[in-house]
Amino acid sequence: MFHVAVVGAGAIGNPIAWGLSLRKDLAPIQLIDGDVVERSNLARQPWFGEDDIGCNKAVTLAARLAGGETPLYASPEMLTQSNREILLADADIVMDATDNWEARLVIQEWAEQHQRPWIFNSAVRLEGMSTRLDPGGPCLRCWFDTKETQGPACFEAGVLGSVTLAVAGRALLLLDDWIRQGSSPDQGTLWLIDRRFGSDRSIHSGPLRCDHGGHG
Amino acid sequence: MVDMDDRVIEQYSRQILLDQIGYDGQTRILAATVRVQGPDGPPRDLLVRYLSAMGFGVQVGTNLSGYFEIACQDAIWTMEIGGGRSQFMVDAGALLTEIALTLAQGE
Ligand SMILES: [Zn+2]
Repeated sequence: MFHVAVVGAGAIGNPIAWGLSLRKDLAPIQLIDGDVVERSNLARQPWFGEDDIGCNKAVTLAARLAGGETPLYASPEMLTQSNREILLADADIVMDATDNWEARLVIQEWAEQHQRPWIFNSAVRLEGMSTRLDPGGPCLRCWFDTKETQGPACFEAGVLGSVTLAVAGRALLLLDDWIRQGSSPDQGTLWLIDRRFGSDRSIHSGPLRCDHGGHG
Repeated sequence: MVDMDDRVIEQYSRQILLDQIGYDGQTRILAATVRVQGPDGPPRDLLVRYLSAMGFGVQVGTNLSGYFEIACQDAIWTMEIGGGRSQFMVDAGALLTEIALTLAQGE
Protein backbone atom coordinates (compact mmCIF):
# COMPACT_ATOMS: atom_id res chain seq x y z
CA MET A 1 0.00 0.00 0.00
CA PHE A 2 1.26 3.43 -0.85
CA HIS A 3 2.39 5.85 1.80
CA VAL A 4 1.13 9.36 1.00
CA ALA A 5 2.64 12.36 2.81
CA VAL A 6 0.66 15.62 2.77
CA VAL A 7 2.83 18.67 3.38
CA GLY A 8 0.57 21.38 4.80
CA ALA A 9 -2.68 20.90 6.70
CA GLY A 10 -4.26 24.22 5.73
CA ALA A 11 -6.71 25.19 3.00
CA ILE A 12 -5.59 22.61 0.44
CA GLY A 13 -4.43 20.06 3.03
CA ASN A 14 -7.83 19.99 4.77
CA PRO A 15 -9.82 18.59 1.83
CA ILE A 16 -6.91 16.48 0.51
CA ALA A 17 -6.64 14.76 3.88
CA TRP A 18 -10.42 14.28 3.98
CA GLY A 19 -10.43 12.67 0.54
CA LEU A 20 -7.47 10.44 1.38
CA SER A 21 -9.02 9.33 4.67
CA LEU A 22 -11.99 7.89 2.79
CA ARG A 23 -9.81 5.66 0.58
CA LYS A 24 -9.29 2.04 1.56
CA ASP A 25 -6.09 1.34 -0.37
CA LEU A 26 -3.52 3.51 1.42
CA ALA A 27 -1.05 3.06 4.26
CA PRO A 28 -1.64 5.44 7.20
CA ILE A 29 -1.63 9.01 5.88
CA GLN A 30 1.03 11.43 7.09
CA LEU A 31 0.13 15.09 7.72
CA ILE A 32 3.11 17.43 8.06
CA ASP A 33 2.56 20.96 9.40
CA GLY A 34 4.19 23.01 12.15
CA ASP A 35 1.61 25.80 11.99
CA VAL A 36 -1.24 26.54 14.38
CA VAL A 37 -4.86 27.32 13.52
CA GLU A 38 -5.75 31.01 13.34
CA ARG A 39 -9.16 32.63 13.18
CA SER A 40 -8.50 33.84 9.63
CA ASN A 41 -8.11 30.18 8.54
CA LEU A 42 -11.60 29.07 9.53
CA ALA A 43 -13.48 30.24 6.43
CA ARG A 44 -11.51 27.92 4.14
CA GLN A 45 -10.08 25.25 6.44
CA PRO A 46 -13.47 23.95 7.48
CA TRP A 47 -12.42 20.94 9.53
CA PHE A 48 -11.14 23.47 12.08
CA GLY A 49 -13.39 25.34 14.48
CA GLU A 50 -13.12 28.20 16.90
CA ASP A 51 -11.95 25.90 19.71
CA ASP A 52 -8.96 24.80 17.61
CA ILE A 53 -7.42 28.28 17.40
CA GLY A 54 -3.83 28.04 18.65
CA CYS A 55 -3.62 24.25 18.17
CA ASN A 56 -1.28 22.54 15.71
CA LYS A 57 -2.94 22.02 12.34
CA ALA A 58 -1.58 18.55 11.56
CA VAL A 59 -2.48 17.15 14.98
CA THR A 60 -5.94 18.72 14.92
CA LEU A 61 -6.74 17.59 11.39
CA ALA A 62 -5.58 14.02 12.05
CA ALA A 63 -7.85 13.90 15.10
CA ARG A 64 -10.81 15.44 13.27
CA LEU A 65 -10.60 12.90 10.42
CA ALA A 66 -10.10 9.85 12.63
CA GLY A 67 -12.67 7.12 12.04
CA GLY A 68 -12.49 7.18 8.25
CA GLU A 69 -11.27 4.25 6.15
CA THR A 70 -7.56 4.95 6.66
CA PRO A 71 -5.92 6.36 9.79
CA LEU A 72 -3.91 9.56 9.72
CA TYR A 73 -0.95 10.64 11.82
CA ALA A 74 0.62 14.01 12.40
CA SER A 75 4.19 15.26 12.07
CA PRO A 76 3.79 18.68 13.75
CA GLU A 77 6.85 20.26 12.14
CA MET A 78 7.65 22.48 9.20
CA LEU A 79 9.34 20.58 6.38
CA THR A 80 12.89 21.88 5.86
CA GLN A 81 16.06 20.84 4.07
CA SER A 82 17.44 19.49 7.32
CA ASN A 83 14.48 17.33 8.37
CA ARG A 84 13.18 16.24 4.97
CA GLU A 85 15.03 12.91 4.95
CA ILE A 86 13.54 11.94 8.29
CA LEU A 87 10.03 13.31 7.72
CA LEU A 88 9.66 11.89 4.21
CA ALA A 89 11.56 8.64 4.80
CA ASP A 90 8.47 6.47 4.20
CA ALA A 91 6.76 8.53 1.50
CA ASP A 92 6.00 7.02 -1.91
CA ILE A 93 4.40 10.25 -3.13
CA VAL A 94 4.09 13.76 -1.65
CA MET A 95 1.08 16.06 -1.90
CA ASP A 96 2.12 19.72 -1.78
CA ALA A 97 -0.44 21.63 0.26
CA THR A 98 1.95 24.37 1.38
CA ASP A 99 1.41 27.93 0.28
CA ASN A 100 5.06 28.53 0.14
CA TRP A 101 7.58 28.26 -2.66
CA GLU A 102 10.52 27.33 -0.43
CA ALA A 103 8.75 24.32 0.96
CA ARG A 104 7.96 23.23 -2.61
CA LEU A 105 11.65 23.42 -3.49
CA VAL A 106 12.41 21.21 -0.49
CA ILE A 107 9.84 18.68 -1.72
CA GLN A 108 11.21 18.88 -5.25
CA GLU A 109 14.81 18.29 -4.18
CA TRP A 110 13.72 15.31 -2.10
CA ALA A 111 11.72 13.98 -5.06
CA GLU A 112 14.67 14.36 -7.45
CA GLN A 113 17.03 12.67 -5.04
CA HIS A 114 14.76 9.69 -4.41
CA GLN A 115 13.10 9.59 -7.86
CA ARG A 116 9.62 9.89 -6.41
CA PRO A 117 6.63 11.81 -7.74
CA TRP A 118 4.95 14.75 -6.04
CA ILE A 119 1.86 16.81 -6.76
CA PHE A 120 2.18 20.61 -6.81
CA ASN A 121 -0.88 22.65 -5.81
CA SER A 122 -1.61 26.32 -5.34
CA ALA A 123 -4.59 28.65 -5.02
CA VAL A 124 -4.80 32.42 -4.96
CA ARG A 125 -7.83 34.66 -5.48
CA LEU A 126 -10.19 32.63 -7.67
CA GLU A 127 -7.50 30.67 -9.48
CA GLY A 128 -5.88 27.37 -8.72
CA MET A 129 -3.21 25.14 -10.23
CA SER A 130 -2.27 21.52 -9.86
CA THR A 131 0.24 19.25 -11.57
CA ARG A 132 1.97 15.97 -10.87
CA LEU A 133 5.74 16.09 -11.21
CA ASP A 134 7.00 12.63 -12.08
CA PRO A 135 10.66 11.56 -12.00
CA GLY A 136 12.27 12.44 -15.34
CA GLY A 137 9.42 14.75 -16.33
CA PRO A 138 9.14 18.53 -16.14
CA CYS A 139 10.15 20.22 -12.88
CA LEU A 140 8.82 23.44 -11.34
CA ARG A 141 11.32 25.51 -13.31
CA CYS A 142 10.29 23.84 -16.57
CA TRP A 143 6.70 24.89 -15.86
CA PHE A 144 7.21 28.31 -14.31
CA ASP A 145 10.65 29.33 -15.56
CA THR A 146 11.65 30.93 -12.32
CA LYS A 147 14.30 30.50 -9.67
CA GLU A 148 12.62 32.97 -7.40
CA THR A 149 11.83 31.69 -3.98
CA GLN A 150 8.58 33.63 -3.86
CA GLY A 151 6.07 32.20 -6.24
CA PRO A 152 2.32 32.64 -6.05
CA ALA A 153 1.31 32.64 -2.37
CA CYS A 154 -1.96 33.47 -0.68
CA PHE A 155 -0.52 35.73 2.03
CA GLU A 156 -1.82 39.13 1.05
CA ALA A 157 -4.36 38.18 -1.55
CA GLY A 158 -7.85 36.92 -0.98
CA VAL A 159 -8.76 33.33 -1.58
CA LEU A 160 -11.95 31.29 -1.41
CA GLY A 161 -12.33 27.89 0.24
CA SER A 162 -14.27 26.55 -2.72
CA VAL A 163 -11.23 27.20 -4.95
CA THR A 164 -8.93 25.30 -2.60
CA LEU A 165 -11.52 22.50 -2.51
CA ALA A 166 -11.47 22.25 -6.32
CA VAL A 167 -7.66 22.22 -6.35
CA ALA A 168 -7.64 19.43 -3.76
CA GLY A 169 -10.07 17.42 -5.90
CA ARG A 170 -7.82 17.83 -8.93
CA ALA A 171 -4.79 16.78 -6.86
CA LEU A 172 -6.63 13.66 -5.77
CA LEU A 173 -7.55 12.85 -9.39
CA LEU A 174 -3.85 13.11 -10.26
CA LEU A 175 -3.09 10.78 -7.36
CA ASP A 176 -5.81 8.36 -8.55
CA ASP A 177 -4.16 8.26 -11.99
CA TRP A 178 -0.76 7.58 -10.48
CA ILE A 179 -2.07 4.77 -8.28
CA ARG A 180 -3.73 3.16 -11.33
CA GLN A 181 -1.08 3.77 -13.97
CA GLY A 182 2.15 4.84 -12.29
CA SER A 183 4.30 7.71 -13.49
CA SER A 184 4.13 9.19 -16.97
CA PRO A 185 7.07 11.58 -17.28
CA ASP A 186 6.35 12.26 -20.96
CA GLN A 187 2.90 13.64 -20.28
CA GLY A 188 3.20 16.47 -17.80
CA THR A 189 -0.13 18.25 -17.43
CA LEU A 190 -0.73 21.50 -15.60
CA TRP A 191 -4.37 21.87 -14.50
CA LEU A 192 -5.78 25.37 -14.19
CA ILE A 193 -8.89 26.14 -12.19
CA ASP A 194 -10.40 29.47 -13.09
CA ARG A 195 -14.08 30.29 -13.08
CA ARG A 196 -13.73 32.32 -16.27
CA PHE A 197 -13.13 29.06 -18.16
CA GLY A 198 -16.42 27.55 -17.07
CA SER A 199 -14.60 24.35 -16.19
CA ASP A 200 -10.99 23.62 -15.50
CA ARG A 201 -8.40 23.60 -18.25
CA SER A 202 -5.16 21.81 -18.76
CA ILE A 203 -1.86 22.55 -20.46
CA HIS A 204 0.22 19.62 -21.69
CA SER A 205 3.97 19.79 -21.68
CA GLY A 206 4.38 17.11 -24.35
CA PRO A 207 7.60 15.14 -24.31
CA LEU A 208 9.99 17.34 -22.41
CA ARG A 209 13.32 16.50 -20.92
CA CYS A 210 14.15 18.49 -17.84
CA ASP A 211 17.65 19.93 -18.14
CA HIS A 212 17.64 21.55 -14.73
CA GLY A 213 19.38 18.58 -13.17
CA GLY A 214 17.33 18.57 -10.02
CA HIS A 215 17.90 22.28 -9.42
CA GLY A 216 14.50 23.48 -10.48
CA MET B 1 -27.50 44.18 7.23
CA VAL B 2 -25.36 43.34 10.22
CA ASP B 3 -22.15 45.13 11.04
CA MET B 4 -19.16 42.85 11.31
CA ASP B 5 -17.02 43.22 14.41
CA ASP B 6 -13.24 42.77 14.35
CA ARG B 7 -13.35 39.05 15.04
CA VAL B 8 -15.81 38.43 12.25
CA ILE B 9 -13.76 40.55 9.85
CA GLU B 10 -10.65 38.56 10.75
CA GLN B 11 -12.47 35.27 10.25
CA TYR B 12 -13.58 36.17 6.72
CA SER B 13 -10.65 38.45 5.85
CA ARG B 14 -9.45 36.38 2.88
CA GLN B 15 -12.92 36.46 1.34
CA ILE B 16 -13.33 40.18 2.05
CA LEU B 17 -10.00 40.78 0.27
CA LEU B 18 -11.48 39.43 -2.95
CA ASP B 19 -12.74 42.21 -5.23
CA GLN B 20 -15.72 40.03 -6.13
CA ILE B 21 -16.83 39.79 -2.49
CA GLY B 22 -15.52 42.66 -0.37
CA TYR B 23 -17.04 43.92 2.89
CA ASP B 24 -20.57 44.32 1.52
CA GLY B 25 -20.49 40.93 -0.15
CA GLN B 26 -19.42 39.20 3.03
CA THR B 27 -22.22 40.96 4.92
CA ARG B 28 -24.70 39.60 2.38
CA ILE B 29 -23.24 36.11 2.73
CA LEU B 30 -23.59 36.27 6.53
CA ALA B 31 -27.21 37.38 6.17
CA ALA B 32 -28.13 34.67 3.66
CA THR B 33 -29.53 31.23 4.40
CA VAL B 34 -29.06 28.50 1.81
CA ARG B 35 -30.99 25.22 1.68
CA VAL B 36 -29.01 22.14 0.71
CA GLN B 37 -31.06 19.15 -0.38
CA GLY B 38 -29.84 15.75 -1.41
CA PRO B 39 -29.11 12.29 -0.11
CA ASP B 40 -27.36 11.77 3.20
CA GLY B 41 -23.65 11.12 3.14
CA PRO B 42 -20.17 12.57 2.85
CA PRO B 43 -20.83 14.57 -0.36
CA ARG B 44 -23.73 16.50 1.16
CA ASP B 45 -21.80 16.94 4.39
CA LEU B 46 -18.98 18.43 2.34
CA LEU B 47 -21.28 21.00 0.69
CA VAL B 48 -22.76 21.96 4.07
CA ARG B 49 -19.33 22.20 5.69
CA TYR B 50 -17.96 24.57 3.04
CA LEU B 51 -21.07 26.77 2.83
CA SER B 52 -21.12 27.12 6.63
CA ALA B 53 -17.42 27.96 6.74
CA MET B 54 -17.91 30.69 4.12
CA GLY B 55 -20.44 32.30 6.44
CA PHE B 56 -23.81 31.15 5.09
CA GLY B 57 -26.62 29.95 7.30
CA VAL B 58 -27.40 26.43 6.10
CA GLN B 59 -30.55 24.31 6.25
CA VAL B 60 -30.38 20.67 5.22
CA GLY B 61 -33.07 18.56 3.56
CA THR B 62 -33.05 14.93 2.50
CA ASN B 63 -36.07 14.74 0.21
CA LEU B 64 -34.07 14.48 -3.02
CA SER B 65 -32.16 11.57 -4.45
CA GLY B 66 -29.92 11.41 -7.48
CA TYR B 67 -28.83 15.03 -7.31
CA PHE B 68 -28.12 17.91 -4.98
CA GLU B 69 -29.97 21.18 -4.95
CA ILE B 70 -28.71 24.34 -3.30
CA ALA B 71 -31.22 27.17 -3.08
CA CYS B 72 -31.36 30.68 -1.68
CA GLN B 73 -34.67 32.49 -2.12
CA ASP B 74 -35.31 32.43 -5.88
CA ALA B 75 -31.88 31.21 -6.90
CA ILE B 76 -31.40 27.47 -7.38
CA TRP B 77 -28.33 25.48 -8.35
CA THR B 78 -28.22 21.75 -8.96
CA MET B 79 -25.42 19.25 -9.08
CA GLU B 80 -25.39 15.69 -10.38
CA ILE B 81 -24.12 12.85 -8.25
CA GLY B 82 -21.58 10.51 -9.73
CA GLY B 83 -18.10 10.57 -11.14
CA GLY B 84 -16.29 9.64 -7.95
CA ARG B 85 -15.27 11.54 -4.85
CA SER B 86 -12.32 13.46 -6.29
CA GLN B 87 -14.29 14.68 -9.30
CA PHE B 88 -17.13 15.63 -6.95
CA MET B 89 -14.68 17.86 -5.05
CA VAL B 90 -13.64 19.60 -8.27
CA ASP B 91 -17.26 20.13 -9.34
CA ALA B 92 -18.45 21.15 -5.87
CA GLY B 93 -15.62 23.69 -5.64
CA ALA B 94 -16.64 25.29 -8.93
CA LEU B 95 -20.33 25.37 -7.97
CA LEU B 96 -19.70 26.82 -4.51
CA THR B 97 -17.53 29.54 -6.04
CA GLU B 98 -20.43 30.53 -8.30
CA ILE B 99 -22.89 30.47 -5.42
CA ALA B 100 -20.69 32.57 -3.14
CA LEU B 101 -19.95 35.17 -5.82
CA THR B 102 -23.58 35.36 -6.95
CA LEU B 103 -25.02 35.76 -3.48
CA ALA B 104 -22.27 38.21 -2.48
CA GLN B 105 -23.39 40.50 -5.31
CA GLY B 106 -26.95 40.71 -4.00
CA GLU B 107 -29.70 42.16 -6.15
ZN1 LIG C 1 13.19 21.26 -15.26
